Amino acid sequence: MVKRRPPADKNGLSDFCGSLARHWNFRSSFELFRLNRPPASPPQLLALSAWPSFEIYAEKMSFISGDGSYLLRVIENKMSGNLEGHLIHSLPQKYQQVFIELEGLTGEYLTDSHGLVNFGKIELDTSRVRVNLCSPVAIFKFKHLWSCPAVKIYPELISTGWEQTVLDLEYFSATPDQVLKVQIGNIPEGREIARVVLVTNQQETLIAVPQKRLCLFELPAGARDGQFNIYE
Amino acid sequence: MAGEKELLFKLLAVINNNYTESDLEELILALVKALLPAIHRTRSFYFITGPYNARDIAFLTVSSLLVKDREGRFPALEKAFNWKVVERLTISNEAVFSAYLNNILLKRLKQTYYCLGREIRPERARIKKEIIYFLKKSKDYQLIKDKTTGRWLVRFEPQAPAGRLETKKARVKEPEELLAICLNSGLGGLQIPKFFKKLAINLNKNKAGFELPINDLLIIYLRTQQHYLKQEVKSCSYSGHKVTVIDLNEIFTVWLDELRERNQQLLLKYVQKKKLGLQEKDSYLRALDDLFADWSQGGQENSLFYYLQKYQPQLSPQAYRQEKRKIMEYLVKNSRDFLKSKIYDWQSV
Repeated sequence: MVKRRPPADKNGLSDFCGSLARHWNFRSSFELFRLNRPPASPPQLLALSAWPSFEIYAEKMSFISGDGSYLLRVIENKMSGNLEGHLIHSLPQKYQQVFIELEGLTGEYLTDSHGLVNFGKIELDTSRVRVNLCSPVAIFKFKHLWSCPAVKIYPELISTGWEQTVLDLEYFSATPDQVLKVQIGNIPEGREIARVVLVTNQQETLIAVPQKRLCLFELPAGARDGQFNIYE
Repeated sequence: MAGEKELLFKLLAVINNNYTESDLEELILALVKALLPAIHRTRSFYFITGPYNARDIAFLTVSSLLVKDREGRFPALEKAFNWKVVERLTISNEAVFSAYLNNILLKRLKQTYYCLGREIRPERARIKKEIIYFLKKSKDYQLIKDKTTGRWLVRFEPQAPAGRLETKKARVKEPEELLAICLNSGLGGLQIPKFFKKLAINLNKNKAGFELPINDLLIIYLRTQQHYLKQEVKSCSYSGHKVTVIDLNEIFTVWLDELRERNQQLLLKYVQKKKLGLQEKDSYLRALDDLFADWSQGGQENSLFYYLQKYQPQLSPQAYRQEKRKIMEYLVKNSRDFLKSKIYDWQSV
């Protein structure tokens, strides 16, 4: 579903602020539909835990994509009061690091490598809530960054039209913090990158908003391998 | 300064993940506005080749502080304003906060400059190596390691002429001042050894010393040369001698496209003879692309093995020597010959 973005202002200042502060209407996002079915039976605490019989999790609602390939289960953790999302798809790259937007709520939610996302303590209007998903348009993997301070990497998993995209990585170890400069090149005409996500070997995730197709990441200590996901 | 305390509260709200979109927007605006004067003041000192104006640099600097993690928190911002700093800032006055924020922003700005400035990396690395080589041999300059930061600094102490009493020495604190001295002394167009020898003579005359990081000296050298070249071009255009400006990069890109096509054809022949697989063919092409990029930016950095190994991670040096080297070297030789002939043709026209 292609959505309209807020109008660009002349000096670009509020555009920039908006792109960093507000949640972004991803161009390549699509809507999930409410799945009307009785909630699944919740797991019970084991008797051995010595707690009274109590439902820890309660399924709030489920959503499904138009082609039936995606399933999102929204579950409430009754102990903490948090809502959690479980995104399910047969392919890992389709449920890992996917942005989930809940319409009417600020903030973007990103799934982890298991397709889980913690929405926190939010109020969901179950009758009107709408959910959009945005998966990466291209995934780039890198290894042993320290051995080569400047590399060009090519995408491994790509959406149609993004085959030519390349990332130029430059690793700066001389600065007080280890900085990784990421320059995105060969983007299809008329398209823009909304977010760049870096997932390091230690499963740390950093989300950046590129400026002039350029991002500067301060690397967590020991991060050498990982992947970049780009989102439109 | 009334707004400073408010800014601190906004910053704390953002750090504690308890903010609204408008809080974050206002904070970003304030940071960008605080950065712009500093960028206008310092930008000309740094050698940035990319098409970045002052606002782009400000945005880049701020956005690097606002990289989020999955929980929506900002690790870089939290690191800069850790609990000890926050504790100190909340009980101190606005001027202290303002100075600290300014300091953080300037440090970040310097980092951005450094990252943007490295865009002509191979050439700069070569110049830096030459500077270090000269400074190590020189008796005028000293290379010292800063114990706190671990960085290498270059120290120059002016020497009083023989037979005279030592007078008060001035110290150049900012790299901008040293750059001004270089420009005023007309040090442009000089090779590295001559440049630093003449600089030492001038500093001795002015009785000025300095202690600056090597990277700053590199930038000073580059800026002086850049200024000299600009002046040269200007003087040529004033004297009526018309210089035709031809963008060699553009021509080079066209040649490279042609070259890629030729290499593709050559590699297809190998595939047809079943000496290469299709995937392997692509890895050769990518390795050659990297090599050409390095050629266009100043020179080959590594042996051909490393260029190919990047796209064939399993490739061992032995396997390369036995099977791949012949093909790779043949392609590189062909490419070099092709470019040479193109350059000769272009020059003769």
